[in-house]
Amino acid sequence: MIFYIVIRELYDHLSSLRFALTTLLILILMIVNAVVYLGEHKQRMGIYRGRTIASENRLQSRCETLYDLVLRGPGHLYKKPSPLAFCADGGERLLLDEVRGTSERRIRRWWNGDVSYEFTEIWGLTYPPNVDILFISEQVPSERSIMPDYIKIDWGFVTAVLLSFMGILFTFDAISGEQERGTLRLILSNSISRSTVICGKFLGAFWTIAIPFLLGAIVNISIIYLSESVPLSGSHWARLGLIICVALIYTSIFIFLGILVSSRVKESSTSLAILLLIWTVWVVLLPNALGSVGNRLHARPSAREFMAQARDSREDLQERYFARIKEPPKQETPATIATALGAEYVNKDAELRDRLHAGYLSEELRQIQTARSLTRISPAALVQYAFEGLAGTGLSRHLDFISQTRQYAKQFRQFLIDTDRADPASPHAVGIPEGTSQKPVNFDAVPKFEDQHHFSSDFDAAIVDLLLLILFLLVLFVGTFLSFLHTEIG
Amino acid sequence: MFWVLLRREILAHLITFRFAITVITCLLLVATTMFIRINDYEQRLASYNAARDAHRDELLSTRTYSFLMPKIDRPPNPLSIFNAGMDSRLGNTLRIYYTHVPVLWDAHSHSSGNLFIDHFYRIDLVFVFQFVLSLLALLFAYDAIAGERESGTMRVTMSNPVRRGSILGAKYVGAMTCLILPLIISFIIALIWIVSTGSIVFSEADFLRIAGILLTSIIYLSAIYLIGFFISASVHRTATALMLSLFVWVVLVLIYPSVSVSVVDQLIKPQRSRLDSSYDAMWQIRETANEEVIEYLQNDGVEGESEHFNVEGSRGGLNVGLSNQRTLMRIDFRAYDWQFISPESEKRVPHVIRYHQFLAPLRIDAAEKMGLIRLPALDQIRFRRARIAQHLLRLSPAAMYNLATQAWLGTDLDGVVDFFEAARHYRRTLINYFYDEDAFSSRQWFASDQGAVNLDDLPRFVYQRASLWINVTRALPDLQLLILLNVALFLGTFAIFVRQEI
Repeated sequence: MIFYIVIRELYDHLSSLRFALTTLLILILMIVNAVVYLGEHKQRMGIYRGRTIASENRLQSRCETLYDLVLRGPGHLYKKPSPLAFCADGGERLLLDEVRGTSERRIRRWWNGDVSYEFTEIWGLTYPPNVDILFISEQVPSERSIMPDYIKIDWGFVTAVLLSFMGILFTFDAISGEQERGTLRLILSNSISRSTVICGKFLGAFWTIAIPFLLGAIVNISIIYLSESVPLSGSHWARLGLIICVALIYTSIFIFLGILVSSRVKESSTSLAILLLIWTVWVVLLPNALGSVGNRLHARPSAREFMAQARDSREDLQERYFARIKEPPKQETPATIATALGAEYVNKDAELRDRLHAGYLSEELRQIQTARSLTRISPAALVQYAFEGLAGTGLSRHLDFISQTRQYAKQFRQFLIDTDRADPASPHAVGIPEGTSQKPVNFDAVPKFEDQHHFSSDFDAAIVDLLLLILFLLVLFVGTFLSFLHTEIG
Repeated sequence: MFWVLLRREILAHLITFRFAITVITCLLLVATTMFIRINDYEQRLASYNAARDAHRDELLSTRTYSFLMPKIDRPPNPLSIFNAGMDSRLGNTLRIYYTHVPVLWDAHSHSSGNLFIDHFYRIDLVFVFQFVLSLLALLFAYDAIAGERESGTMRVTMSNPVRRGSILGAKYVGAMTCLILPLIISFIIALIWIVSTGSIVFSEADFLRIAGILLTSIIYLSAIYLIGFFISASVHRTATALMLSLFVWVVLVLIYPSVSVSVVDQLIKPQRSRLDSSYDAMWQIRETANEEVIEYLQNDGVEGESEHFNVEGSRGGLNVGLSNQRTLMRIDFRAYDWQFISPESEKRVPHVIRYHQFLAPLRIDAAEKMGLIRLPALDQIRFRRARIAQHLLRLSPAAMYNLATQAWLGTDLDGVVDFFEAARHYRRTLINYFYDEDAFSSRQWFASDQGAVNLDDLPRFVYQRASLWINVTRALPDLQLLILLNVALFLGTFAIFVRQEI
């Protein structure tokens, strides 16, 4: 019996105006998305490749002596663009795509009576790279900043906005409409249980939405696949599959919501008004409004305060070391106490800078995490975050990139120490020219950075949002069933 | 008869459930938005005050004329509570060098915000009206004609001696009255909230601007209502009218603005070639000026080519050399502060004075010439995309509404650019001040050995937002377009309705 109900529903929907309009809209958006994405991806990959090659060449030029490498570091480290950015853009244009592993070569002067010595600051990780927060707190507006605000048209947008909208459009009169026309009484007078009616209604609406979405998705992927400019591997297909599942779960939430409201309300027009308002508030307004509220909840020290604090702690470290150094470092093997202390100071300072940068970033992140947690009461935000996680874009991916650069920095530092150990002529006080090996370094042996996309870490980032979506679905599912079982059919 | 119909329409709308919940939702959202925006404004104001005080202290500690490089700040616009626009996005602090003509791209932001927060779309009052009230307008409109035709009441009405025009008129006026009601309540709530915080003071012109926004909102809602009205008159079934109007709403309000801007962002590339040629031309000007300086130093009758003329003493100074090819920025600025000049060198000081008398006007002249190349080039390169995006956006009434309100409030791009116009004006004032004080030919231009320079007469920078009249002229094009749309839709509806068989 349920089969007949589904078929009837499907037939009703598929021949309706709303189906034609929404299918057309989804198809247009998906094609626009694919075309815009192809251009953008080519550009992004070109820039990424050019920059990594340039960065590697600069690294090679630094291999002349080990000290040069110790001073100037690995250079710029770049984030690899995700090939799945068409699913969720994740605001990549706002996030930064590089971490600097370089040195500003600022100088700290030590003096004792007439003797003075200059310590040059060695490399450390700097992000955000265009704002050196330890020295300049100012940001120059980018060319984009005068463009009107816009939301990127990606799968995330199509799902969050359009599929939910369709979910409402196909269900607002599911029960109330039939009640108005009296057909519901007719159906229930047959030996059909109420749960069968709901399942039929749900499946009918579900397939009506799933078909155009899948169609759009296939057209979109085909365009991208056939252009042959984006290589998609097995793991990418798995991610795409998951993304489609998430989209369908999200759609089901709104279908149940529609049936729920429709079964509680006598008139279809009232049901529609309620649903549309819930939709505007829940999908369009809440994610943005709560983002701004969350921003306020968690105060963060201003850049000025932060800079003052950073300066103090750096000067503190300097004073502590400089008090213990009694003479300028000398080129002697084994290293003198002054050389060892000097090298230790330079390294400690680099570590301190790294810690300060990390601290600043984590303050910023705490703020954004609060904002994101608040927005999670809107399934539209959840689906956006889940998409970002699965597509390997957005905030979680950004953090993964930064933690990879930290790993790499550790590895690079270890490499410097090991290379220095291998040179018997060196005083083994890596960090100042007198204490470091002066031999050239074999470029091939230097570890190189390549940003990796790990499916497991991306999936971890998405799992919370996925579970919350399922929770929403279950609550609405149960609510709809209970509500319909208790509805009087007039 | 018209009044009877009108009364019926208003009552029919007011008692509906959709009216009640929309109004409640709208008011709740207005309250939330006011909370967020006022909070945001107060934060930005505090940041502005701190920056302004720090910059004033810095200015007052200046010891020589050549060290004068005041930093000026743009106060946040209190009206940004209604529509945030560009107000908080673009640079709001700028250093004025007499050797550099400033533009928008030289400015910084004194409150370095959280980069990640930009992921959330900014929400303000106009945003709420744009979405929620426009939805209510459509819900009023879709069954206005189609519904009455279906239920047969239209025939009953028409059997009375009543003209079709007055039926349409009554429907339109009735629905608009019910739409304006929540709008006005929202504005009153917003104003009471703003006045009661006490930290925001509006001038009379500001109240007129707010009235302008109210007017624009009414015209916008009327346009959306008329879209629904037009659809309702032209189709036979209510269900079709509803679907079509919702579809149009989603496209016009939600999808089209994003699609058009993202397509412009992707497809229209900035013209880099113009950038390079302008940069070269600016480089030429700078080189010519430098050659003149070298020539002067060679022919000044003093041995050596140092600009210090072998004057002994303790010299302080500042050398600013900033360049950015992407924004065509090239700042060459030198400041001098000789705290002590040995008595033996005193006889060489006139040489130094003559040198600076020659140098400063030369640098100013070079800066003006570079500015003449730079301003139009940047306008072409950097503003073009934004302007194209704005023009394309105008196909959607929601975007027209947004742009018009920004123009009223002065939070649009032009309003922000005004600040930089004022900054350039202030730079001229500063240079005139130098000439008035004879600063270039005074010893205090480069030396503070006889005491720090007295800056009591230095004109301070005070930023005045554009006058109401300018805001009106900027809002007018979008307003006219909206009105035009209204008229066209009403006439269209009328033409269809008059010929229709009932």
